[in-house]
Amino acid sequence: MTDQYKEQYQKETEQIHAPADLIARTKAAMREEEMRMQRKRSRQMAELTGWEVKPVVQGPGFAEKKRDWNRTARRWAYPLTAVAVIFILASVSLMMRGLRNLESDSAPLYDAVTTADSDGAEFATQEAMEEAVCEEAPMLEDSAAAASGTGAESGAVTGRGAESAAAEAMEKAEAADMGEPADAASDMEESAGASDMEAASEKEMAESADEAKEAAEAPVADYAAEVNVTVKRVWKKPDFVAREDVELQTYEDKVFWVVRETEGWAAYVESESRGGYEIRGEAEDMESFLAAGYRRLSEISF
Amino acid sequence: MGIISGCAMTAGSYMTKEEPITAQTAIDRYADMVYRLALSQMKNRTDADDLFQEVFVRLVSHVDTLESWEHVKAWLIRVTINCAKKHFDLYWNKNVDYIEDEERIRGEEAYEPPPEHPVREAVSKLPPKYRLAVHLYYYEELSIAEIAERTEQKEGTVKSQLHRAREMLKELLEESG
Repeated sequence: MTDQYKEQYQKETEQIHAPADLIARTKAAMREEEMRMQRKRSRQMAELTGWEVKPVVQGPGFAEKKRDWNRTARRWAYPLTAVAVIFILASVSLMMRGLRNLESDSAPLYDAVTTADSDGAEFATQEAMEEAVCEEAPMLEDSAAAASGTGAESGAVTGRGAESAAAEAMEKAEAADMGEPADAASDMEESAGASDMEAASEKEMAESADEAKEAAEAPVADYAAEVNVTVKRVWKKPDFVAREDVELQTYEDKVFWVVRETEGWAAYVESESRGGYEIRGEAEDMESFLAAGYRRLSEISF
Repeated sequence: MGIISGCAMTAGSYMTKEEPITAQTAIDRYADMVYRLALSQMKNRTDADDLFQEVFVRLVSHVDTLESWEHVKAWLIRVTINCAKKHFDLYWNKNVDYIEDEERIRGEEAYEPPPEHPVREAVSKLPPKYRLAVHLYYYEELSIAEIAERTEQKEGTVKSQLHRAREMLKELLEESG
């Protein structure tokens, strides 16, 4: 369309106006629509709250205020939503981090406890073993001396020589109890053998001393067999408990799972609290192994 | 042009920029615009009146969502076009021969521009889509993009409609002398 026709078209169109009666009819229809919507809102409100709401007469400026409110709400809706989402994510993140720290803090502590326990048990076991070795030597000698003394006392001896020999044996035994070096048995034999009057009694005494010595040395042998036992604190049953060749043995009212291994024996006993103890060692037989293991457990307050 | 049409539309009342946007004030402001658009689409007064009323009654439930007068104007144009389209679709769905029906009502309520408006008369003979493009472009002075947005068409389509409309108008106006 050329400019000429364009201007003419505009001029012609400007002369068209909406009829006044049409505008009046339309305004009436619009008012009816507004009332209908208001009634509908009141009905919906009444259904929600159970109250009857009277139609609100909207004062001047109501629509503008409502629009302003809508505009404000729309303007702030997205930023507030974003802030809320960020806040929730941050809270969840902090909570997760806190839980993770709690777990990591308790885990090493837990591990430290178990390690300390097991290490402590091992250390205590080794220490106790060493101490026991040190202690056992004088104990062994004490018992040997006492046995010798006892044997000397029980021997059918008469005469002063025998009495003196017995007295000497008693003295030697006492000295040995106090921790003195123990050549008591040999000394006693020498002293007994040095007496002139009791060749026969000497012989008997020597024999009885020998017997006593053997009797004393038997537990020594037994104790010696208990060496090399380690005890370790564990929190779950070892794998060997599930083996087919495992044996359940009761020793001193405790139930032991015992297996024979290539390098000795292995046993597991449950503790009164969580977990249990794993015992490993070398012994000639199961009973001595269990005895040694039980003794070691007793030392560590089992 | 916009100022003149604005003054014509206000019918003597003074409209300030801060006038509150309500359905009642909107009809006072844009009644002529909607009526002209409706008439250009419907070509008979009864349908144009119905279309006019329908558009403003719909405005009652949507006026709270409109933030500015420009927004109101754009909304009114779009709804007028859509309602006119619905009317045409109704005609086609009823399998009514629109041309025959138009001739039937031509003697009763048909609207034809007066003889002293030859350009409008030529425009009224264009197909509805071309009439709409011409009215929005040359009278409402909307851009190609705005027309495309209001009519939900591509800009290229609007351009080709305007081009074809200009050619047809030229032929019609040259024939009429």
